[in-house]
Amino acid sequence: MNHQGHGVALDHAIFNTPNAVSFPVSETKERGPSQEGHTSPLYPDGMPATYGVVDFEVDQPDGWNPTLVSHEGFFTDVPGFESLVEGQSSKMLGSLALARQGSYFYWGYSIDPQRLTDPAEDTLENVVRYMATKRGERTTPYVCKTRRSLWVYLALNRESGYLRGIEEHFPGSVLEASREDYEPTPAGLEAWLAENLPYVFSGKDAAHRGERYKTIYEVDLDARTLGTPNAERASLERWIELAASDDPSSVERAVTLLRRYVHPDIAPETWGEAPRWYATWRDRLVFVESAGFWWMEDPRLAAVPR
Amino acid sequence: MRSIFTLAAALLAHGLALAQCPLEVKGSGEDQPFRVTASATDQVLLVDLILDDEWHAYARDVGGGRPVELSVDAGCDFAAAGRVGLPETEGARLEGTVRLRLPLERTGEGDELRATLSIQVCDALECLVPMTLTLSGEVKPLGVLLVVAEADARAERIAGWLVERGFAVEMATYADVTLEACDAHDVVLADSNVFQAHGVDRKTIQRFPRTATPVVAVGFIGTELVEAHGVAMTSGYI
Repeated sequence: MNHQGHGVALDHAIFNTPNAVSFPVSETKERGPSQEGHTSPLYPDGMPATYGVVDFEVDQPDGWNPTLVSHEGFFTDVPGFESLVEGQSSKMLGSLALARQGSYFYWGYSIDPQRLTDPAEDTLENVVRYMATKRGERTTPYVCKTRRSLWVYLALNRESGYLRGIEEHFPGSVLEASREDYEPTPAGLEAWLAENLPYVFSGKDAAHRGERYKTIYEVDLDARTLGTPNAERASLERWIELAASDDPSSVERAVTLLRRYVHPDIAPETWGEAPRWYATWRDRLVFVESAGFWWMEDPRLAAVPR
Repeated sequence: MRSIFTLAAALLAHGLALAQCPLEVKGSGEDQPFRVTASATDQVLLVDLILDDEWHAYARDVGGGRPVELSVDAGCDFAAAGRVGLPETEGARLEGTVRLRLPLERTGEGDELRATLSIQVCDALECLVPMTLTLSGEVKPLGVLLVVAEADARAERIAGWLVERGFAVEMATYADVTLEACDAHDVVLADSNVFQAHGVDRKTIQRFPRTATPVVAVGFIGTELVEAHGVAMTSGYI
């Protein structure tokens, strides 16, 4: 990205405490093809046809600043994650210039006072003071990429005609058994995603780790058979219900799914009393893909000792 | 131009503190149906009232006991920078554990904070005599560990700017930064120049201490540091 940002979350503490920061809009830009038709945490209803950018540095750096590419939600299921400014670049909407996860804050611009604009200086001071309050802040560990990575290959093809993702990267990122019917074309990927994406998972064992692509995805046939997308609360409740049923085959499949998706740190000794376990944990659970596709304890809550 | 090491030594002499400095509370006496603890940064004074069961105080005057008042004393190195923040409760009654927040600004050269808390507590039958408590202590500036590629003019500019903004600064390079140094500060600010100009190799970044202290990770080095520490927000493309 360059020296600018947009989508600034001006109501956040880093723009208000102790310095009340005012960012004048330096330019009005027209929405680009990488931004059209998408949403992001800072543009939940999509980006308007024109948008204002603000300057964090006085001019274009001698080189490039890095933006963290989120592609519409790579990390938005991480509890407490804060997207605070998007970077001005050709990357897709949702690419981050300022963001926080747990006790880490990402500042994508220079911090050299020779380079910073006045509002950026005030913001940086606020950021340091804000982060001083985040000692010990818990977050989820990073285990694998989210399933959104697979969708990105289709989005990039629609945006620019990019095919390598569909023909090479997608097959390299998905277990062979989960793509037997996959046709490496845009239409083929679209059909595969429609059928399988809600049931994709990763991060569980060595089969989900690769040398080149790091994260290897699998389609959960158990979840797909039941029609229970793995990240949905209703699916978890369905598995709980089935685990307590009288049908042995349903119990077996439900317990398989519960073991696959309920983090061992909070899982019961056995799933024989799944409803009782759920009554205890219901309000403390979050599903986080990047943590390994787990239902796990919300790190924002005080940990319950086991 | 002062050398970076001269600057660092001067800043070291100022001392460093973790974010919240505890304050001494005097004047409540013993066997009272409430306790008070207090702490502060150079931005905010926090006072926690812990009221025994069936006892309460008032956030504002509603015709019962005198409302709680919190103020910064004249002559110390701080002043109030706003109004006291209190929870909104039914009938302005404060019960259980209650946190008062008073924004502060540094007005003096030193670190001395003195404040006064006036409180009257009541139960269903009576209100005790109003009490005046004093809160006092030293409130250090937030301590920032600035980690840089090398102690050059850029690093000195950043350190100088942090001092101007009221932080106490120490400096380390990526090559020599330690866990102990990180943990001893309120915030670690991990600097980076732009891509291919930051001058720190990946292995060095990956060795960056896994500190309990919050980290502001800057630029390219920041992305690699955060990724090395297993934080999901770097799991996209860069």
